[in-house]
Amino acid sequence: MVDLLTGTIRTATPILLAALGGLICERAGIFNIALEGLMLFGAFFGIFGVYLLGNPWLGVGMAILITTLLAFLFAVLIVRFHSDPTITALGVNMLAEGITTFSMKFVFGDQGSIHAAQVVGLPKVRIPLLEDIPGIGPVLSGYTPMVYISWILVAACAFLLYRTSVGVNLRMVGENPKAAATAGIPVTRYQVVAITVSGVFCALAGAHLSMGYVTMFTENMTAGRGFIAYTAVVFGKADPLMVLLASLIFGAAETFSYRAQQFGNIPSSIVMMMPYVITIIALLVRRADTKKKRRPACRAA
Amino acid sequence: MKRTAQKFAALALALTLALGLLSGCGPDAPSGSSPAQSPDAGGGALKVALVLTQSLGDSGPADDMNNAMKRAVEDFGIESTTYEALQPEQYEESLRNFAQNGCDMVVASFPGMTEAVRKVAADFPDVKFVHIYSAEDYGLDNVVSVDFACWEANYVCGVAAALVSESGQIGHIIGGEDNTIRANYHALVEGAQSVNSAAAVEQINAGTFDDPAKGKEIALSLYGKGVDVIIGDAGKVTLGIIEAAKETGNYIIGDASDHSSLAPGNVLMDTALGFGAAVYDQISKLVDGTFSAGVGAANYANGGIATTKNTSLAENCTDEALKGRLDEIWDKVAEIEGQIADGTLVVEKVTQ
Repeated sequence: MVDLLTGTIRTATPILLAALGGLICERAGIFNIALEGLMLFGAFFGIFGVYLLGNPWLGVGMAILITTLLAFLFAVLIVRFHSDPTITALGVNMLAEGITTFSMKFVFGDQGSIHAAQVVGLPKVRIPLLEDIPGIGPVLSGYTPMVYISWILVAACAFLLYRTSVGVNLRMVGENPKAAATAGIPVTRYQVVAITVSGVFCALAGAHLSMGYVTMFTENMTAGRGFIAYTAVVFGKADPLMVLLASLIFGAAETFSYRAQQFGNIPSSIVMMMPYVITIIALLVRRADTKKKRRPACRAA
Repeated sequence: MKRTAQKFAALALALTLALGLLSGCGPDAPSGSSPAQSPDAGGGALKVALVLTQSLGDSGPADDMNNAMKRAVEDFGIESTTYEALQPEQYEESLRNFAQNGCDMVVASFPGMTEAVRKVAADFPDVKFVHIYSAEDYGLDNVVSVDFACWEANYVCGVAAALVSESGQIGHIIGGEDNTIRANYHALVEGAQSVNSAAAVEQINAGTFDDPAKGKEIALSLYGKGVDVIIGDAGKVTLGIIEAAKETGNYIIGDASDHSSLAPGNVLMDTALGFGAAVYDQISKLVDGTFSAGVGAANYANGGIATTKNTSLAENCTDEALKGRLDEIWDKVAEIEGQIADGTLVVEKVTQ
């Protein structure tokens, strides 16, 4: 059981971090499916940073710097130059796959996966008091710092959205940009900043994947997690706690699907459908739920 | 004003998309030395192209074949190109491109390319085609398939795993299901139970060959419940299993290339499919004119299949009990390998 829970948290963290970035964009009225590409950037430049600078935290810094730059470029393209967000996001995803693969081959030769000796991962953190709680101690302690950072960020996002004037403005920009502009809120600036911040979150997600979860970079290693993160945003209705819950459900479904293969003679192809079936059921439940209590803000536009 | 801005955005977007494709640039047209040369043109270097359907960087078959190309360039002075055709719709296109552009030999890889090879090879009777990892008999004079008997090596892995394992629980993580992998599984179980009749092999399908994080998660779950040796048959997923083995102090047998430097205290051995050797062998046949069409087998008997043992395991492993047993284990493994090679032990290919 403990094993299942720790597995769930490990699997959910990269999805959660990227989803928080998607959430902020969603709140600012931006459809951001570039999470996958931004995450891949984070994963590569994290490892590349460690390789160059020798310290995992400097690697994370480099991942944030470069991923944020790409996110800013994406923001300028869709907010300032009004290019189609979906197509541009696809472009960003392809660009990320191309640039990371190309740079990896350029720097590391055509080995194509990086697991050099210089590459050190983020250390595991054991929290002295939590660790000693009987039963759930091992579930709460012993992860890489990025897991704890993701929890703190969930709280920070919730606080920002619901308890600060910046959060109110951001939501207003997303729900009714014209009204926001009339109220004197710089809509464009809010949107650009929101996308740029999502770059930071995706950088953390990617760096966690390549330096925390495993310690290596391989071509296209995000393997669709950015898209699952976007699903978590939609499922969680861009609410930090619900997004956390959604990420955990996806994490649990995947972790459980490995374990389920270990019981009896269930064909693996059926077991592997589970995460997707659970997603569909979750979305249906969510839909039935929102029909009952519709938020007034939805009608505002 | 707005229109200019939109045009700019469109242009930037197009550029972005174009850049994204950079990593897989298309087959190069023969540079400089055109017109195209044929083997008997004399003087000019022979041209060989390798088309891979899995990306480089797996420290496995793709890298192995690419390295063989480099060796061949050095040893025979050929010109080589390696191309990653990762999408099925690129298979035929890339083969045709290389055949048209004056290559003397085009090496295709992995079973997925069968249809593409069949079509293109028929159109270019003067170009030699090699299909690595294929059991297909094309019936054409210019095509040879090289088939690997991987299950023979997996039988040996099963023997080694069961000898090393203290719990008798062995894990088998695969990247997908196909006939070869099923045959590997059956051989593995047979091998393991030949030395420990109580040995149990648990197979988990990761559903991908490219996601090391998934491999690590699955491996941690297996090691967590008492499995102490895992056999990886899953491309880059195996890299994640190795990390899990390192973290938990368990053992791993990898696939298709030597992984022992990644975790010298945890990697027992790896299966070694002579992907590179097969490519090199076919190029050398092209060079000395002994190319022959049909199906060539790569098995224990002719050295196309083998295992690479982690020779530094004894120094790096922390388990004293295992250290004491290692010599005995290697002896037994060598004995089984000898029997498979000389035909006294026959490992059946069971695909059900």
